[in-house]
Amino acid sequence: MADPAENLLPKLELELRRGALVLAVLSQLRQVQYGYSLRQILAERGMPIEEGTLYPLLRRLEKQGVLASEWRIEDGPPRRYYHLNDAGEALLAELTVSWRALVATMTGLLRESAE
Amino acid sequence: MNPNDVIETYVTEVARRVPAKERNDIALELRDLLTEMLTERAAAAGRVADDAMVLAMLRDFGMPAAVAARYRPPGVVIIPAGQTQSFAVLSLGGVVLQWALTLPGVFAGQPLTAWWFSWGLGAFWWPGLMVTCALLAAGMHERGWWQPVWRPRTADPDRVNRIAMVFGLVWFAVGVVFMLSLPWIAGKLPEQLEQVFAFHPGFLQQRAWPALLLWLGVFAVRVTVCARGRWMPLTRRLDMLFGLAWIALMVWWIAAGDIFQSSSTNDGAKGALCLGAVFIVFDLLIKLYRRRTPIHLPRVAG
Repeated sequence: MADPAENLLPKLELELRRGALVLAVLSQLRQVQYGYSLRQILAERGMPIEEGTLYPLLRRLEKQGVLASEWRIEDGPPRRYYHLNDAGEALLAELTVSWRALVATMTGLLRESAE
Repeated sequence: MNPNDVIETYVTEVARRVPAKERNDIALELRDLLTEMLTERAAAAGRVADDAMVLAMLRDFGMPAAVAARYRPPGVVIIPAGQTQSFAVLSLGGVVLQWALTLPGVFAGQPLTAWWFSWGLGAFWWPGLMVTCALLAAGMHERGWWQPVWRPRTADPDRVNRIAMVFGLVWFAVGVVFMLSLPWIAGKLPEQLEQVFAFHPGFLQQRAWPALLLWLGVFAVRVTVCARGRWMPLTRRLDMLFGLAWIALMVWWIAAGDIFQSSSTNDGAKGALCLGAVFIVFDLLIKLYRRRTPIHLPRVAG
């Protein structure tokens, strides 16, 4: 019989990553990026995102008023470039604080459970 | 077919499913993304992209409808997951009940086609009404016009209001006496009315008597509840059993033959019995739904 934890692990890992996705994307948009370049940067840094998820997420964040975008042509076809606006910068700062607090809490909890 | 044409076809399929306002932007962005992905795949494979490669990539990417759905905000929930089962049971149960009450006409000689184009198809008004109500409720909920707030129904749902119950029992007894006196009352009416309300002798001799037992049983249960001031598990169960017995008796009366001698009175009485049976079914369903979920103590290890 298959180990239930073995089947559960990829699903739970995916959920953990999904929770951190917005923060990961925001963190890389201080510099202007288009979708594909952003995806490559995130993948290189250990946060691969499905293309089908990233592009709708960028559009959603833009609609929510935390990203700005514009079409540009730079040695290739026209591409939409995204970057944080002022509201996005503020949100990133707040989410970073929340993330660090969460990491500290989790580190404490996991340390206690390991002892 | 050129790989770029395949991508173009795919992008068009996605684009026609996304909001018109964003269609052009999404299509341009998606086309660029897919072209870059294909270039990356071809480079990794060390060969020029062909149809098989682009098709495999697009199949991995997902069906156009699924990709387009990612660009839309999550939809409004019309029927919450916790209510799906009861919604299905109630809507289909309503259709089945209407069919069960009207299909006997087909066995009595009514043409099946006539039944299907009247009650058969007509019974779907009920699920239609339920869906419309669910849509209205979801719309109101979405706009914040209606936010249900939980309130305890009563502090103790088993307690009864004795005064109201005594009042109800008196009326119950009056009603039973009136029903029992109906044959005698009908005999005292003027001749024309007497014919209208005259019972069928077969009904009085063979099929009427179980009602007396059921009335006595229901009366005894209610008097016990009134005396104790609350419903007990046994009285609740007996009450439901009597409800089921009434449904069985009413169905028997409807199916077994004439109740009154006059056909129009007979039809009216059977229609009233149908409504009564439906009412008891709903009453039983509500009682089952509101039944307290017993909370048992957990099994303690060791």
